[in-house]
Amino acid sequence: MHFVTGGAFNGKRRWVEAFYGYPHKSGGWHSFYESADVSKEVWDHGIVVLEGMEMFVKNTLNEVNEKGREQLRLELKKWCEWEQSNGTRKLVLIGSDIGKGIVPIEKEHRLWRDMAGWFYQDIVSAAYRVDVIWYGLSERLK
Amino acid sequence: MIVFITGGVRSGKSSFAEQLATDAARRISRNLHYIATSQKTDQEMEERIKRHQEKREHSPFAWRTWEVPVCLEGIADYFQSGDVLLLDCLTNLATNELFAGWENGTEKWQNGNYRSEVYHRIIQVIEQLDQRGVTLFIVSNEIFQSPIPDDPGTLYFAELLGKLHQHIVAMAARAYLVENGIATVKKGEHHEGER
Repeated sequence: MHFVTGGAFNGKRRWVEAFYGYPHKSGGWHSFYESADVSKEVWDHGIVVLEGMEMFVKNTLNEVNEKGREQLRLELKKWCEWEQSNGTRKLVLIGSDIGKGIVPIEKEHRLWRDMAGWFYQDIVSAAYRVDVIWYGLSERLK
Repeated sequence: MIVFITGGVRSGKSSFAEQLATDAARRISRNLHYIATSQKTDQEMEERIKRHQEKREHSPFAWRTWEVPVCLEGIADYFQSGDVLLLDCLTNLATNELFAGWENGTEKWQNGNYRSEVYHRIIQVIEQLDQRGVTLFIVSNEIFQSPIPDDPGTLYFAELLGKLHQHIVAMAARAYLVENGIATVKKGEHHEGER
């Protein structure tokens, strides 16, 4: 699994499109900003890109709240198993960094940030490659 | 030549950019132009502007200051090859452009065509200055690493600024990120003799 992160509006999607030659209109591309659920057909493709990890975290929190981290790990495990079950499959996760800046006052916003931070650590540890995108420039961390 | 400098609030990005600009002007013995973008909206902003002005007055270099809260293209023709310009900062310019007219109730930013026009107008003038052989230092803000508030105005602003940064970094000879007064080179090579 390849994790691509960086700040919002930094060109992460465009970088992934160029890196894999795989436009975001492709069938294997899912954005959690468009829908909370990944449709079955997405998994029929050789490359699957899941975009908006921060939104996926938010949706999961709305459902299960504090038990969220376990739930997130389970989902991540399922995704990675999909990739590993066939050597030609490729999984790319895109997530915006939301962890810097002022700690929000609202409890649910703090929980969201915390949960996203933990989940990203889980993703990074499962990933074989991690890139941070800064205004279109990439820096490989792993 | 375009040099892009970004950083958080109080990161030291302005001082670093001023240093780069004065070094460049000294090397090629050219005039320094400072493009100020703030609108004097309140007491705090006035003090901030004053602080920057005093710093430049005490500098051994002759800065010429241009007050350009909007429409950078209006002064572009005054500059020629070899001039050194410091634009501080792009964040203000983009804010002033995007939300122009709000004080009398004209919310142009809600219109997608207008947002696109603002983007292209800013990119065009930067490209024009670059092609003319001006050395342009552009200072801007890092605002993208915390959750972006989801009201439409803020989202459109973040989108505009992010797109501008991406385009400018792509065309820049050098790009820096300044954190806690320390600059990291993200693109290009930092020249000897520059801090």
